Amino acid sequence: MGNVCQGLDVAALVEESFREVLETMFALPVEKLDSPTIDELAVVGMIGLAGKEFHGLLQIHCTQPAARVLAAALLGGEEMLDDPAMISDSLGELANMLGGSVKQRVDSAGNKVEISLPSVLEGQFETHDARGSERTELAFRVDGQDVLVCFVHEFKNEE
Amino acid sequence: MAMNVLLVDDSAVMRKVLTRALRQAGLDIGDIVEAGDGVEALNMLESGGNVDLVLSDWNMPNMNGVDFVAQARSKGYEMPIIMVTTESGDDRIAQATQAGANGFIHKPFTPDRLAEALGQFAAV
Repeated sequence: MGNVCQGLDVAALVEESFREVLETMFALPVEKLDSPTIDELAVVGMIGLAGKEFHGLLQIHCTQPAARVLAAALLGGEEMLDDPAMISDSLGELANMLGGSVKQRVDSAGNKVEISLPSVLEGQFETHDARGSERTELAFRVDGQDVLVCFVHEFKNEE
Repeated sequence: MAMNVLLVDDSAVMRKVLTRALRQAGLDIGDIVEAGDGVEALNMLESGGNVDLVLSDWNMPNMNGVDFVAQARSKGYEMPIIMVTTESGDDRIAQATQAGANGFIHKPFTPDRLAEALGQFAAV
């Protein structure tokens, strides 16, 4: 028997959640892009979701200037951005809120999930997804800066 | 009369987000003080701070939000305490309510949602 989450439009729920956090909560203009145009990804905010039948890792990838723009939006200005920790903490909090929004939507679809604490990585790195997982990638332009949102997820007990 | 608010969250960023949202929500808010976890929040209450309303995260180090609510109630503090968290679901709401929380705001939230949830406790 198929998973109750199989009917989820993962790309749509990630886009709705991303817009809910940035447009609705922080009044930041969000434009969806056809393809990522980010040359040098340098910062990633991540949060995990795990349930009985569905789990995944949400990631917000961006450049340092983009992370600065997002942090300024959360903090209400650039006064506190001399402290680099405030920029990475902002990206972590953004991942936390994005995870909370996705969780609500997945829960509403009938599959309860829990979310992890957020993490932030900085620097150049490669990611390799686990075998059997699916990757959904969405690119957005946020207040002039490009941001890549990835959701690596897996439906369990699939036929 | 303006209400003094205690924000309890281990994220300094989230405390700034909440402070800004409170100021934008059109509520009559006085002083806003901050604590990084439940232990710090209890210490602030016990030191005699004039707090009319508490907004608390759920997941925090040292003492989480629900334990903080339960401890605050056991010590006789009766001001409204609202959970602001990514936790959701009827079981979580029941757990927080049983501990003594007066309300639940899910993150992400809008200033309107904040105003709606706090309107019954804070003068506009």
